[in-house]
Amino acid sequence: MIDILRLWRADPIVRFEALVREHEAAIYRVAFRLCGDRDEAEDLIQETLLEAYEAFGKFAPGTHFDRWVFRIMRNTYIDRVRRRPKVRIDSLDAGVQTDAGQTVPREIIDVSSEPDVQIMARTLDGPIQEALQALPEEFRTVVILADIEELSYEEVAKVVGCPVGTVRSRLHRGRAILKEKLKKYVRF
Amino acid sequence: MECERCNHELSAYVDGKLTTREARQVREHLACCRRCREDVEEIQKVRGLLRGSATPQPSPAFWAETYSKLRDHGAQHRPRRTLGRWASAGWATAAGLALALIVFLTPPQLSPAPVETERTVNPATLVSLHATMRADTPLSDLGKVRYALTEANAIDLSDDARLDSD
Repeated sequence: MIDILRLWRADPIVRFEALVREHEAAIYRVAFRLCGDRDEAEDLIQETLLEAYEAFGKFAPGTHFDRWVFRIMRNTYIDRVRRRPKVRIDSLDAGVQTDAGQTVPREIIDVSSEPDVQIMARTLDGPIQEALQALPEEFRTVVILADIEELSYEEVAKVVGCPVGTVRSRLHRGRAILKEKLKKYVRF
Repeated sequence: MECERCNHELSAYVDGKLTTREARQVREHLACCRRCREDVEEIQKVRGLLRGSATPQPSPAFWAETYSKLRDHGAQHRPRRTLGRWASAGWATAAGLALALIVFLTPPQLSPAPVETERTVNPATLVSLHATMRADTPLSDLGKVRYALTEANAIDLSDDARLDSD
């Protein structure tokens, strides 16, 4: 109790850091599953935590710090995706224009034949993450929070900011899509 | 329950999020529908795969770098001063207490005694009224005076009384 009081009277950054340390595994897990990429996840966490620190005055002591951070993380993620420059998608079948103006067939490197990718493919984590990335963001977030972080429907609804009924249907549709995506790896 | 309707409820059924009635309807449907039973198993498997998925590990220096950035940021900025839920609740409670104190500590305001307004009665009217009463009940005045004397002070009104009796 004295520790809690001492911590609460401490500098905000000290209190904030202590709370982040307590939840760092969950924060990393959600960021990684949301982004599907380590570098991107780490950038997302740092941006989220700076945002969260700025808004730390709004955090209600005694409530779940991790859920509060997830809500900020989700908004930050959506902003990052929106900010991301639109990429031009070329057909792999189309040829490539050379400097001389000639069109030559495109050389495609098959990364799936590389040993480390093969190793990753053998473990199921790769396909699961791949399947998660195939989900629209609103389904992915709900699946991550409910099925990986094991939050209740009500808690997910608060993080995402939608009714519980919407969480229920998004989770059902998300799982159905995942099942289809994982069919080639797992016998259901 | 129709197969399609039941299928929409299966995820919530697996999570134990249906009401008792809804869960009973799903169970009844599952008892006679093999396809939906298989769907339940598949949902359980997908959920199990996600729950059992490996915990990703950050790059070794990630958290140390992150805390260092946070501390640098914290040295230059403080969280925005906003009235959080607790703060606003605190202010509301304080305001309520102050109001209650004002109400309870203020001495009750006694209602001012009604000021007697001096009646202005015409003496002639009084004399005329008295004369009328006396004519109707000749002994009443004497009785009233005697009663007053026994109760209050001993003013000898014997002469008056005698006069009255005359």
